Amino acid sequence: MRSSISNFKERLRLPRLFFRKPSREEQIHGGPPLEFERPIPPAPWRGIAVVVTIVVIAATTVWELYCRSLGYTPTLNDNEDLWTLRRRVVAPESIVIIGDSRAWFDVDLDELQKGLGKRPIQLAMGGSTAFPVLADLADDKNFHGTIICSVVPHLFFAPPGSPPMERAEKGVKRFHNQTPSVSANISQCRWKGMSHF
Amino acid sequence: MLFNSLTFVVFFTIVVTLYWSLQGWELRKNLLVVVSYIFYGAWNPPFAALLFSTTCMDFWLGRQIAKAHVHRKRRWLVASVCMNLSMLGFFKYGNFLLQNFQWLLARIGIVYQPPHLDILLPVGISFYTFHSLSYTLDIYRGVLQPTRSLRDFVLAVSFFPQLVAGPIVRAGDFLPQLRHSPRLKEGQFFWGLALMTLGLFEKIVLADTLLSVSADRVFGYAGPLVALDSWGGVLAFAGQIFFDFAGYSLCAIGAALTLGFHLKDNFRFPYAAIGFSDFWRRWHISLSTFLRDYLYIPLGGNQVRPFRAALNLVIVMFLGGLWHGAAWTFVVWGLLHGSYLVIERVFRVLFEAKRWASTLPVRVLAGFATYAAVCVAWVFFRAPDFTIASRMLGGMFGQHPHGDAILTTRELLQIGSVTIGVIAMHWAMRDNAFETAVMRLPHWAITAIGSAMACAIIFTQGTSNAFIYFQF
Repeated sequence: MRSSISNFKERLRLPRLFFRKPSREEQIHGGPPLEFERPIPPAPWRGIAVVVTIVVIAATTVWELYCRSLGYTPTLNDNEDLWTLRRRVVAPESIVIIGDSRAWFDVDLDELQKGLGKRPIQLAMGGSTAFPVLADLADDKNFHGTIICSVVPHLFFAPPGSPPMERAEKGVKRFHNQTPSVSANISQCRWKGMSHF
Repeated sequence: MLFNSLTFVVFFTIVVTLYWSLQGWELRKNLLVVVSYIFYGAWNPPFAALLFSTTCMDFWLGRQIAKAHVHRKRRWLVASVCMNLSMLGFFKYGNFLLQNFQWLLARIGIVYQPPHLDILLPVGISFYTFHSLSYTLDIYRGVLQPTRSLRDFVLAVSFFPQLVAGPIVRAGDFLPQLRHSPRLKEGQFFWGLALMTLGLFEKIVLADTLLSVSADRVFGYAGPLVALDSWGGVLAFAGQIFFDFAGYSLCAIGAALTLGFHLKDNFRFPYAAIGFSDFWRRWHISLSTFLRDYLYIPLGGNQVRPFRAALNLVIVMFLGGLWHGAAWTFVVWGLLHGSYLVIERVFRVLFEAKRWASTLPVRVLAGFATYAAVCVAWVFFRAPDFTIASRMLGGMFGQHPHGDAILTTRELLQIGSVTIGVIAMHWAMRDNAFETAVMRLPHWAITAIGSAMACAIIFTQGTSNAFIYFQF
């Protein structure tokens, strides 16, 4: 009498792959272990690379000089990665400024430093609510410093899902999830002399 | 670490310099293993340990399969398949399965609140699981001998150009290249750099700058849209996903070439496909051939009755859809493609022998019908849920004549010109290799195009996004 296990195996009908060797056609089309080499178009690639490099350097230099002549200077994109960079320097006794554009643009860090004895850390974001940042700092067991919070009612009490709330949440989320590669990328930008904050 | 980041430029420069400075082949392979793990660990270091452990398991299981007698081979293979797929299932489909289980229980009146598993998806798990799985599957099939070197296998799975977003390079394609130190052919290094430049141009300039903003606006819009804007958004996404993924694949192929390795094409002018089987021979080739060889053919392929063959197609495309993401929208996308393939088979049986079916106008018409149907399927791929998908489809097929128009004339022109450009290019090249087209160009034209693309990459303003296929 056949066992129930062998019956079960038959009924399970595992794919045929498990029971047979591949056909000749499959071996050819299945790929392995065929040797494969990509074709290289015949062209003087070294010379082309040299000319392209010269053209790109020249064009970039001209573009850079033109932009600077219009008064532009190098800056970083003001995004959640840049915010994360500042959030990382918050120490246990730091003075932290959070809130919206009023706190961002209307606070003179140099003057505050003179009066308070240490430089506050600017974590305010334009068009955002301070609420998620406040909650995050409150949850941070290492932080027991001072928070200066700007409250504009329609921004501070912005509902969940609204742009001010999303903007702030994005920054907080990035602070907790920023990958080492993004962190290295932004640090390289700072190293290139674009640190002005 | 994104290919389109400054970190990668520095990383790649250091790797290439060190790699070609080292004398011994073994030393170079060791270097590649270390840098590949640094590349992967740059996203989330603990997941590098997960990658290493699954790789070691498959290495060991591969040896067991090779050593075992016939009936035991199957058990070891099942162990390998279960190990890989359970890992994929836990990280990628855990929450999805729980949510669906909750929904099913609710249908029969049982209230169940599953715990939310706060699972972080390891980057590229779908890709490296398939890299690794191909090894044990091919050993079982008898078309690959197990390698004696764990280091070589670790490198085959984790080789950084193809690690996180493909192409899905089978161990059997890569391991033979590790036997001897590669010798660069004339122009190989610079051709590799040229492919990387083209890949970055496709990603940064075409996908992210010219198309992604419009696609995101249309698919993120809360209200109904008129037909022009709905189609505009879908065409923008069709272009975006091609340039995004084909751009990544080109970067991977180019980076591998500069290190002396050869990876196969992952795209072959897919928007000039005539029919859906042709489309899948041109789109994400490494995935479609993987599914064909390890799933479709074992299920019986074409050697079974027509109904069963059609069912097999649908099963394969269903799983292909699910592979892309843990959401029913991806499943519908896969099922749509499965249905397309079945319908195409019926059409072939009915009309293939007719003389008019192979005339140029009919072929061109079939090509455009294929493109339109592929675009309709992209709606489910891109839409975050069925509400948005159905609203988009409604807009595309004229159900919202008084809907909103949110795309500007400039955006529509941008989408239109890129779409016409890509389709014209694909049709012009559909029967040629890309290398052949480059070979026919005069040298000054290659130089001018290369310079223009490199300048466009540098001058493009704005933030570049992560590659779409990273999330899979």
